[in-house]
Amino acid sequence: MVNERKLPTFKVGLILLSFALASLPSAVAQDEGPSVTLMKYVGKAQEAMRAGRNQEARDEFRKAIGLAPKTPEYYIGLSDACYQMKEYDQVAFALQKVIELNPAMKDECAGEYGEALFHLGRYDEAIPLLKAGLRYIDSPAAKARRTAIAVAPPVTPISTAPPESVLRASAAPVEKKEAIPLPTHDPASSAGWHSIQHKHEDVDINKFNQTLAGAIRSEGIVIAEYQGYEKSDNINFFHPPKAKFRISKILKGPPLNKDMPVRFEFKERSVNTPAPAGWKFSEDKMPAKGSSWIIFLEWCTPREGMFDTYEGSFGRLPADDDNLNKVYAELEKHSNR
Amino acid sequence: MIFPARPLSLGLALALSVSSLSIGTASLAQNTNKKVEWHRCLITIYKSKSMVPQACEEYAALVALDPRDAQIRFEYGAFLHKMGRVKEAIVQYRKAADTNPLNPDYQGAVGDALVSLKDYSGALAYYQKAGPKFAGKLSTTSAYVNQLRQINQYNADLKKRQSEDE
Repeated sequence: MVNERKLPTFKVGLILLSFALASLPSAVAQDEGPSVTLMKYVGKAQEAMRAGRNQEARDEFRKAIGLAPKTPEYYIGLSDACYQMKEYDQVAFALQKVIELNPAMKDECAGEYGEALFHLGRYDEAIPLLKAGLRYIDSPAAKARRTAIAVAPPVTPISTAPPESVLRASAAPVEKKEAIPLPTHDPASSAGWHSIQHKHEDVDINKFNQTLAGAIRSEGIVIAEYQGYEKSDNINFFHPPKAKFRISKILKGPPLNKDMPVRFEFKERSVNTPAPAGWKFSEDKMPAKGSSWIIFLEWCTPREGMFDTYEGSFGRLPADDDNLNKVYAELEKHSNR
Repeated sequence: MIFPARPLSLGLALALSVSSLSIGTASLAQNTNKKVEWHRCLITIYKSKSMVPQACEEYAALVALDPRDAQIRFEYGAFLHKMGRVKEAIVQYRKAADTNPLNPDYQGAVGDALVSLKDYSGALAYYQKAGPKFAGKLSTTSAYVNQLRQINQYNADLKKRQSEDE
């Protein structure tokens, strides 16, 4: 029997975050540097955590991580928010990232990481971590850390929008992005909108490669087999069906249920295109059953019971050797070794 | 340029010590909660893997964290009892019952453990303390104790008669 942990009055994650904010330039030195947007996300996350709005805090931390993916403190914040909501897979994911990014924090995170793995049923991995956590918690290092946190100055989050000039100065240069063509511009073709053979021909892998680096930053990347979709009378271009995929391999991200419902979008989200004239949903607009896909999951949390793919239709790629090679190469490039 | 060290004003020192004291207390309680949680996780894991000595170690650590926690002692006792280590179980059950004498489960558990050691008279006392929840066990055990007394009495009489005849 495991007792539920009582909500701590003084959240350690929050304190760590204050700490991180106080030393923000060094914390994000590996990334692009602190931006007003980043500060805004972190401030919002911190406020949400204080008010107990854990879901909001989680989302804000994720946004912060999107901007500064190499700052361990934001992952700690994410893990703390997810812990309160008992999203242990997310806690495990976040703490694993913390340890990857800063191996010196291994002992500090061991207990919570072990606890998350325990709740995920990964007992063998959990035992050494829980023991290490218990050893660490009474160690002089932990006491010193607590004292340092106690005397850290409080940080006031940014509550008002900064002047436009600051925003403009801190904003990244606007990149002109060409629209990625839909798999086929001929919806009436017998081969179908998204049929596997057409996909091979029509997806311009070079164009995809231009932003593959962005796709690689998705929280999860999986190889999954298409198994069908949930039939409904209300499927159209902007109201896509729930496609059923079965995960065969997780290339990146937390462990997920093998049966994965995906919002099967027909458009690339960043491109503001209207529905093609005469477009009507039919089965041939879906992939061939049993076909294998690389799916980029922007966030590994479903929205309305379905996972969103990165940039809509852009985040699905046939899992052929060529594409797999490119994805593996990008993953290697982005690994922290 | 070297600045002379400024002495801490009394008010600031007081404020700092008070704030660090309250933080210290909060984090201490938080740490204890965490430790309890992690020990419990380990206990569940060891139980599922039938790693009895390790589970006992974790229970002992949990008891050491708060020796006045009757529930943990009761759970530890129940685990030892299940593993057949009845005498050790009784020690834990008794401490739980002494800490919280109004809990019928703790009193009844001592009674059950004593019954499994065939100490029926001892068990009766605990069943009586446990109250109505253990009324059934109390009546059964007291009936059995009476029967034992009668048997013992009969045997004693028999022996006496035999010696008189001889």
